Amino acid sequence: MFPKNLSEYAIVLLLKDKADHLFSFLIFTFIVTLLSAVLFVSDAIQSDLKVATLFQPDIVVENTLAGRAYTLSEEDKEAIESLRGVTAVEGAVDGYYYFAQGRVWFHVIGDSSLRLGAMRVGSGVYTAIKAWHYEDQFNFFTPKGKITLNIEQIESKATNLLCNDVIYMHPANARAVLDLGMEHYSKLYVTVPNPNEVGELTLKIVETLPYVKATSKEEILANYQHLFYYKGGVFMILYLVCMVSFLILLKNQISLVYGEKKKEIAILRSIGYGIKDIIAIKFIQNSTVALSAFLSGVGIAYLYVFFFQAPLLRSIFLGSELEHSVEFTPIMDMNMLFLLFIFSVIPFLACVILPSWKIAIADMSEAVR
Amino acid sequence: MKTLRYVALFFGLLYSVIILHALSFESQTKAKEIQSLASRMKYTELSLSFKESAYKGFVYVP
Amino acid sequence: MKQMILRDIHKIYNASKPNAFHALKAINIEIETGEIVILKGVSGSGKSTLLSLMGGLSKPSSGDMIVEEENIAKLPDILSSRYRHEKIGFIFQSFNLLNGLSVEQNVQAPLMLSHLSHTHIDEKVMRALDIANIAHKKRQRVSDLSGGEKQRCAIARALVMNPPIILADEPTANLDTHNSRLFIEMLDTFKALGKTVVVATHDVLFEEAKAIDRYIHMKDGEIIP
Repeated sequence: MFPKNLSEYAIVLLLKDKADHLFSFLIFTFIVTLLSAVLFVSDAIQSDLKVATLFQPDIVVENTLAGRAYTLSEEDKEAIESLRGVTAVEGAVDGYYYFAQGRVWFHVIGDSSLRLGAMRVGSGVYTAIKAWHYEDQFNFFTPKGKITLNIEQIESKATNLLCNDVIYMHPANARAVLDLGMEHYSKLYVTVPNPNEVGELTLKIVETLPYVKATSKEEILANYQHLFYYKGGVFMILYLVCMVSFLILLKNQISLVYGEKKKEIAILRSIGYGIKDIIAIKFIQNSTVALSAFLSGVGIAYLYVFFFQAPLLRSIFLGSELEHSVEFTPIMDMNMLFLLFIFSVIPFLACVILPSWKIAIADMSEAVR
Repeated sequence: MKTLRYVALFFGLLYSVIILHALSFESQTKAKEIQSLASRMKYTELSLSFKESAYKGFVYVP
Repeated sequence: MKQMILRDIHKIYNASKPNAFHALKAINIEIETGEIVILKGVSGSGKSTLLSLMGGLSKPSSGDMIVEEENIAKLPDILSSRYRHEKIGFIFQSFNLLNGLSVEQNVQAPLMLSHLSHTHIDEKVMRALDIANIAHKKRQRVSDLSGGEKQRCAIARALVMNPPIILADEPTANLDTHNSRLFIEMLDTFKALGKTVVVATHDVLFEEAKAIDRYIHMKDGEIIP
């Protein structure tokens, strides 16, 4: 594409101005690293969520008022069961238990596959209680007294995204810990076999029980997507940082062509370099910097997210109260990376090549005197 | 050209490590574990701890 | 044989503007192959402008410039770059070297447009460095050289493509007397190599040079007969 000798000389000239190009390289790498890391974390979480939501109930019913969660009764369950199109309604027992010593909240979920007196805990929970010397058992302190449960299993790190702060126990134990009556439920899971009827039934449920909130599977999935679709408030700050850095970078790129470099272009022109040769040199130099920076940025982001599990950034996505030992699934959205490449490299190159062309076509006789 | 060759070699090595890591990751096993958990949990919520304990106390009525 | 023919050359800066300046008026020159010509005149007489036109660094406002039977007056950039690359070796008053590069890398610059192998390039560079007597400093950065050494590096660069024409614009303006004399001695080397040389200068030391074939006197953009 470019003559070998010219390409070599372009690199010689690039290395001559190491400091200037190093600055561009570092800023560009930083921007790409930050944006790629956000992309990787977000995609990793979303891919796990996609798998996790396979068994999502068609409609989830909760009793909320002014942002607070109340229980649902057996009557509420029967009222929903009587609606045409609903084949099953399952009552769920879950809630939050405050572990005073560790000052953290655990999410208690009733799981009928467990026997009475046994519990399975997420690894975040285990870490928190182990710090207070709980190894095989844990005591829950309720208004009605102490409840001791045996730890049967610790969930693997792979599922931390869903159960890091979760304790599974038999529903009867859960009711006791959460002080939930036998005829009360924290949520109702509604099964609607015909997907076309879900929307209508969601509205019917709210009509029947005006104090409840009914959320369809579609809405739940959309909420999750929205949460992690890198549009949240915190991400806007990150993007702002990237934008400002990028503008500084572009300004630096433009200044690379003026001053000493303007004379350099004039000198090369005077010894026989054509306009196309000057453009070729600038293109080769800046493509080398841009491509190296892009590859470095993506590589560093990958190592940061998938080797080191994104310290700091992970807290923005997942909160930081409970120690999260999440393992992100390595996923690279090539389409987004390609878009990132196009929208970063092209302006980067344009900010050098266009001014270089302008200088190259100017009268060189004054510049070389 | 020597410089470009070294740069290409460096990135070649880096991305070989990355590709090896990505390929060796047991994503199938992880997916199976998540599925098995999800089939028990049904309604999956992300494990996000509340930022302030007071907020959680406010949301959940005892 | 006539290597360079200039016919009725005019150069007007800012033409059709209130501050239009007629830098060169009706210049007619014929230079033979192998001739060494001095353009003499005070500052502002148009010597450097004429040299720029001869070197293809800028174009005349009107007139013809025939170099080796090719009219270079209105060439497009690709062809005028090729002309500068293959036919001209330019030595500038301020040397115009690429700071931050070594002597060798500076002299290599014109050759990097060619498809020659590394070995060929090195051979040509060494020959040019030897002629200019700067080979012993080839790895040194040009910013660390003295004025005279920079001049010799510039000469080596001008010679490396073996161009038939050498143009030098005030080559001794930034040199001391000793180095100025060394440059004037270079004219003998250029003559021995069969180069056609045009030097724009107002340095009286050139009157000592035996290699000079002709003087062209200029004043206010015109040639004084």
